Amino acid sequence: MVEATIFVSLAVLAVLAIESRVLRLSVIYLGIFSLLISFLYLYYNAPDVAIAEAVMASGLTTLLFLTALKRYRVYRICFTNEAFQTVTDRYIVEGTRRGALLHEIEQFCIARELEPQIVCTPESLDAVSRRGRYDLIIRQEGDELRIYGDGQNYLVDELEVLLILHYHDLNVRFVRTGESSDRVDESADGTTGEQAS
Amino acid sequence: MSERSIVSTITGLLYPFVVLFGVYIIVNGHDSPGGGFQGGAILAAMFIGRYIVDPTNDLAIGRAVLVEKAIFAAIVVIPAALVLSLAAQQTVWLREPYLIAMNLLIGFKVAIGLTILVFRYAFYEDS
Repeated sequence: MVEATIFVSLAVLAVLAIESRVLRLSVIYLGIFSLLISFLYLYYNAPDVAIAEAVMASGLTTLLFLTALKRYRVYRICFTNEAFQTVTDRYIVEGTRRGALLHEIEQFCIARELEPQIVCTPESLDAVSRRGRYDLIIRQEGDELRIYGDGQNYLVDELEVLLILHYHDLNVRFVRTGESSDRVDESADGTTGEQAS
Repeated sequence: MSERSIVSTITGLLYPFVVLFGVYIIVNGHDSPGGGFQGGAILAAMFIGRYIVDPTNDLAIGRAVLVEKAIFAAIVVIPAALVLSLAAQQTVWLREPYLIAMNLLIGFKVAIGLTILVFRYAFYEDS
């Protein structure tokens, strides 16, 4: 019984790790996968192998993947809506039209080999832009969506064309911000580095 | 208070226990599951985990490589010396200290080697 459960969950985790669109999630799934497989080794009376598997695959490989992800090109997107105290998952549910827009932006990033990272928050636009860590800020104000992007970034132009073609019913408006000097770049991520060169 | 304070506090709390567990697995490796390689990997995981929390390059890689080479030389020389001396082979009390010493050497070599590997990748390799 224990065996069958572990085998089924191993298969599920493996498929999830391959099919997941966000790389960070794939890394987590692989970590759980290795932990389960090390438990299976323990179940088969091979504690030595179990320790090695738990340490190497679940610990070191996960850390190595996370280190590699740090160097990957991350595109940070922030979705703010000040009208609500809390932002629930309702805004990013795939069924709604706005969810479809976020989904489209995600696909846009994946097609350009960027790792999308979407943050939803009820904070005000000032608070978000003061933190200055986002490449794209989407703000919902009543029925209107405003998208703030860096004017220098050619990706924003492409995105604007795409969204105006497909989502003209959503009241999308693009606002270009100039060269923001208060940007804090903690890591060498690609999108901001590309504009400089 | 930085945004990473939860992760760094938890990792800081875990450090002594992880070190203790790694050393336990190395030292007890000869008569319980574990051994030099597994314990060394646990120690290396601790060093690399520290990099995830606080990515500063303060590891003296050159010196670490030197230490690793010295340990490797010891791993080659000590068993060779034991094989060559017949008297040492016949002393029974020497066996356990010998196993523990070799496990310790291998453990430290693996820990230093894996740490160097990841730090080199993180700081010096261009993507």
